[in-house]
Parts: sequence; structure tokens; C-alpha cells
Amino acid sequence: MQPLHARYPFFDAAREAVGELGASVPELAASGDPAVERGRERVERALTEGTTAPAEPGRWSDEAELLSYPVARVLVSLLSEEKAVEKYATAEAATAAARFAEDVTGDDDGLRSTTDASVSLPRILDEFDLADSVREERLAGADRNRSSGATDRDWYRVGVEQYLLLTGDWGEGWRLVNRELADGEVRIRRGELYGADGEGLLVEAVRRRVAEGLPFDLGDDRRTALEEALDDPLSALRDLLGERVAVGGIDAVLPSLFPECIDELLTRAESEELDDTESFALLSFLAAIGLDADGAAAFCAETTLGERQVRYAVERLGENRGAQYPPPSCETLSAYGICTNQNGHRERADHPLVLYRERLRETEPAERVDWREREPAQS
Amino acid sequence: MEDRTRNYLRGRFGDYYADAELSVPPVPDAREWGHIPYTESAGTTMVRHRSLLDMGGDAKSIREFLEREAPRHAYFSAARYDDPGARQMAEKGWRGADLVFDLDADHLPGVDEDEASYAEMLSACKDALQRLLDLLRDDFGFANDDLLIVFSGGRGYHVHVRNDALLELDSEARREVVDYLRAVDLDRDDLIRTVSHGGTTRRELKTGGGWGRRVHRELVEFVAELREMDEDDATDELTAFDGIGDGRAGTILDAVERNPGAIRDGNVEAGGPGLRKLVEALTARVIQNETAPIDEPVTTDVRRLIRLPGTLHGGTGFVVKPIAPDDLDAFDPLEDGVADRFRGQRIMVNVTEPGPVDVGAETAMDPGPQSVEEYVGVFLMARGRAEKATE
Repeated sequence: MQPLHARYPFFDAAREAVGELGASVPELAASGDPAVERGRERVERALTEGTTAPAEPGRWSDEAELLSYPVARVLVSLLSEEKAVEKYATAEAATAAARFAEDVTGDDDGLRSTTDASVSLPRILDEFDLADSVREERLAGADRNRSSGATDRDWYRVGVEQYLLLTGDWGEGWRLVNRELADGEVRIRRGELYGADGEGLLVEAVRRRVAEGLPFDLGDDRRTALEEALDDPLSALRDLLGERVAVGGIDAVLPSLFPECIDELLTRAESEELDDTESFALLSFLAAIGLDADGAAAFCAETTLGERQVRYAVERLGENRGAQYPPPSCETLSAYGICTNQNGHRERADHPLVLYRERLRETEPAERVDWREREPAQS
Repeated sequence: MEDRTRNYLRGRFGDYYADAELSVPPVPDAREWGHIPYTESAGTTMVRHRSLLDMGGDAKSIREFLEREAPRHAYFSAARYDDPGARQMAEKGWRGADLVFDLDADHLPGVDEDEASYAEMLSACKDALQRLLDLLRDDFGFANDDLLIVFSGGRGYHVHVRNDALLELDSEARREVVDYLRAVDLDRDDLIRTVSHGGTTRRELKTGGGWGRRVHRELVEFVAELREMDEDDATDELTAFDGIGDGRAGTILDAVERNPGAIRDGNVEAGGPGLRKLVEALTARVIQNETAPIDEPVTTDVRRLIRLPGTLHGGTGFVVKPIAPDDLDAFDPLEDGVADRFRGQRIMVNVTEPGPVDVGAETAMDPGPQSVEEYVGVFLMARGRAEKATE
């Protein structure tokens, strides 16, 4: 591998280098490879700071840096949240854009690489198959402008098809109608190739490359194996997501494993009326663990919650399971006096779903008797 | 439409297809095919989701299918699919689509449908087509080889752009193209930018392309005309614009005289605020005269069916006629759109809706049974203005 691969792990050549190193993500996790910790950091900083660059640049070897990219992709896939994938891809792109700018801006106008780890603009364009559709503009007035020291001297021309494919919803200035389009090419400033603000054709090209194939389409077995192998970093990231915790994938109703605060709500609901916040906390939890309207209505049959109320709420919550109306975290619930850290359960996890997921994972599959598959009561 | 009329049209459409020259699109096996048959009921039912295999298997069989079925209208998809015969759009597997533009007299600004004749509408549409082609060639850089220009057989023209680089554009990207061609959301103030030159700044038109370049061309031409005039006429010309009085007109003329090169370079500083007013006015003129009022959904809907060039339009009997770029100036849809198959013989029709007609030698039709050129008869019957009469 080359230092360049560590800096730009999404390049095709870097993917090959990963393959040559021959390390699988479970193996890396099992051996405690630093790539796993760095992979977690990649995702964490993507979610919290919008960058995937390391907080301490000198800490990681090129190899750990390179291998942390596939680890991060697995982690972000396991989070099962669309928003997390988006944020992650955007952060990788923003990080790359800053590095492009660093590498390309130089006395040689970015035509040559200055170190092993840096890239030239032609190399970047080549990477994204843009060599034929992006060219430096040569105008009669260019030399005159150059000597004047004006900063807007660098103009490029981009094929209109590529321009349309690689621009996002970035405001009026990017609309084709407001652009200088001539002979099938759009004029753009060099800075618009790799804009610092996430707006730029190459930023978008990186974002698409990173987002491609994410989240991985993992079968149940593979997902479970990876979740076990990456348990620690994954829990940390899930905790981090907090309110927006990923809940996709839970489909198990085992009341004996319910977090204490939810369990208490359920018990109370059997004898007293819940207020709106309390019933939302309970019903959103039930929807998030896989109960549909029928199931929830049956589950709540012994409570003071009306059947219509239950059905309506669960249907609405279930439509966007976890995405739109995730159950509140323990911290939020504590503000309403619902969660009082019963049995110190918040030491394990600060979110009812995260805790519930962990307890599920700790339970032998044979002992996971789903409430929905219970024997009908003998009468 | 009476049975006799429908049977006649269907039979003659079939005859037409016996030796019709169809313009079959590239990759026909990835297209969805559709048609509207001549049915007894009044309603029109589109038969769609057909694959090439359903049509007979190869490009040649399309003509055979049309000869056999003699449909009223025939279509294909601008899109290419993995499985074009699937009933559900989601199952088809979209692989890309040609970029298609539709100019229809229904959507032309300044054309009153109730007032204008068919010929007038088509003529206005052809002007719009010329503007569209100018934009596609000059701004978008498409070569004639990329463009298939087609008379729709009805009230307008289609342009198919076939360029592999465009296939993947999604609906949003195509809307960007539409908005460009129509100058929708054009930021007029943004046509001028501030440029620094050796420590000072000045305002310049964006001459490098786009609507800025078009406005600049208009300005250069206008200024050249001004210089041909004597001072009084030039002043009158300028003061006719809003916001330009004698003083500003004088400043503009002075700048034009002293530094003609500045305006050629796009510099709009020299003429003062008056010149910028002039640019605003010319911008409005350019938008009015150079935009192409294409029908947006046809371009942005990447799953739409479009008429197959070379087939007949069931609402007129005209050929959906491809036009070579060099022939466009001389193209007369009401003459060149007529199928040769329907020329050279006369038929009996019973005119039920008399009045002006733009097709054939007659300018107006009398009511009742009469003998007409076959293509005039086909036109009248297809439009529902006549029924077939016994010979």
C-alpha cells in the first residue's frame, strides 16, 4: 500500500490495497487491531463533527488509517439508520475536499504531486472518470488576469452532463440557468470543484462513491456475527446517537427483558391512566420493538389505554419505525419523572432500546420466547 | 366515428405501414412499446408495457406489427429498461432515457388557440423549434447527429437527443435543462459580475456563455445599430427604454463612441447606470425572443411514451415525420407531413363539420357528401369532421 491510500481510502487503488492486506473486519476486531478503534472514530467524528479526519493525526499508522475505512463502512451499516449513512458519506466527502484543496493548491497549480501522499488535480479527475469532461480554461485574457494577482483567475469548463450529475441543491448560483453554458460546457471556478462548504463537483463525486452500496445488505447471520465482533464500538456509536438511536432490526417482544422504566410504565398502565408523554413513551417503545397495531392492542388489552388509541399510535409510529418518532432516551424520560434510573439500569445504556437490544443479545436464542408466540392461555 | 369510417381509416393505415419507413430508436429491445388501437368504443385505451418480443422480436417486426394491427397511434419509451414488458414501473429496472423535448401549440405563449388557424399554430411552433435547436446546439453543444427532429403529426414538434452521456440524468437534472431553455428562475441581476482588474473592480456581463452571453450579443448588436444612427435618432432609440432619460442616453452614446471595445469585452461600467438599465431591457427582450417554451413534463418524466417517428398520427392522418436539419427551413408540415400513400386518388366523404381547412387545395369545406383528395378526407375523418361516404 501507499501513503496515498491512507489519505484517500475510497480511491479504487486503495480498495485494492485493502484486498491485498487480506484482513477481514471480524479478524481485525478479534485481534484488537487499531483500525477498529480508528474506524469507530471515523464514524463518531462524522456524526458529531462532520469530519472523518483523526483527532490526533500522528496517532495512526497508514495501515490502520486505510483499514479503518472498511471498518467504518461496516459500522455505519450496522447502525441501520439512513441519516447516519448520509452524515457519514458527507463527512468523508468534506474531509476529502479539504485534502484535495491542500494537495492541489500550490505553486505548481496542482499539476504535480508534492509528496507521496498527495494527489494532483489530473489524478483526482482521472479517479472519477472526469479527465475528459473537466478542463482548464484558456482565455485570451487569462495571462493578464494572472499577473494582476486576482484570486478568481482559475476557471474550468465542465461537460454539462457531468455538471448536472454532480451538482446538488446548493442554491441559485448553482442552477444551470444562472451558469455560463457554451458549447456543452459550464464555466466553474476552481474552488467550485472542491468547495470547502461541501458544495463542489468533486465533493459530490466522493460523497457518491462513499455512499454507494451503503448500508451493506447484510443477511441476518452475517449481521449478527458482525454485531458481536464489533460490539464495543457499535454500542458506543449507538449511545452517541442518543435520541436518534437506531432501532431497525429489533423484532422481538420479551417483556421480561424490558428496561425498568418501561416495565414500570407498563405496570402502572394496568391500574392507572397514563398522561400523554407516558403513553407516548410506552407505545413508541412497543412499536419500535416490532409490535404492529393488532399486536400492540392485544399486548395492552389489560391496561387503561384504549384500543383505538393504541392502534392509532402504533400505526403512525410503525410507519417509519425508529426514523420519525423514536422512543425517548432515558435522559428525556427522567425529565418527565418516568425514568428514575431504576436498578441503576442507565449504567448499562442510556436508552431503553439500546438496553433492550443488549439484553436480547445476552439471551440465548432458545430462551427468547416471544410474547407473540406464547401458548394461548388454558381456560 | 361511424364503423365504416373507422374501418376505412384502419384499413388505409395498414396499407400505409406495408412500406412505411420507420425511425426505430437505438436499443429497441430495451424499450417499452405502446399503441392505441382503433376500437369500436369511443374511449381511447392505451395498450402499453409491451416489449419488443411482444411486438414480434426484432426491429423489422415492428413494421409488420403495425401493418397487422394498424393502430390509431403508436409509441415507444424514451427510457431503456432491463425488463420493458413488466407491468409495474418499479419492476422494469430503469436504465436511462433519451432526452426528449416537446413543443406543442397548446403551450405557446402568444398563440390564441381559438383564434389561430392550424397552419398559424404550426408556424409559431416551428419558430419555437428553431429557438430550441439554437439553444441545444449553441449552448448545450449538441451536434446534428445527436438530434432527431420530428414533426409530431399533430400540433407541434419533438426533438429526441440521443447522447449516451445524458441517459442517466434523473428528473431533477432534466428540470434544470428545462429551466435553462425557458430561462425559468434566471437571476437577472446575476448576469453581471464584479471583476477585479489590477486593484480596481468593474462590472462585466458574463460573456462566457449562458443567458449572459446571449444578452451580451444583443447588446453588441444594439450598440452597432446605434452607431449607424445620427445622434438624435440614437437618443430617441435609447430614451424609449424605461429609466433612460436624455442625460443617461448621452452618457451611453459617449461611452459607445469613445470606447467601443469596452462593450465588446462585456464591460458595463463605462456607460454608467443608464447602460445597466439598457442591459435590463435587453435581457427582457432576449428572454422573450430566445427562450423555447417546451412542455416541461414530457422532458422531466423519464418514463413517458412518445410517438414513434414514421408512424401515423390518428388525430390527423399525418406522418410523425423525421426532418433532416438541412430541410427544416423549407419544411411545411401540412404538405410534407402528408403520407404519399394517401395522395393521388380521390374518395367520397360526408362532411359533418364544415368550415376552414388548412390541408389540401380547398380553404373551406362545405357540408355534405363530396369527393376530396384522399389525404384531405383522411384528415377530416381523423379529426372527426367527416364520415366515410359510399363511393
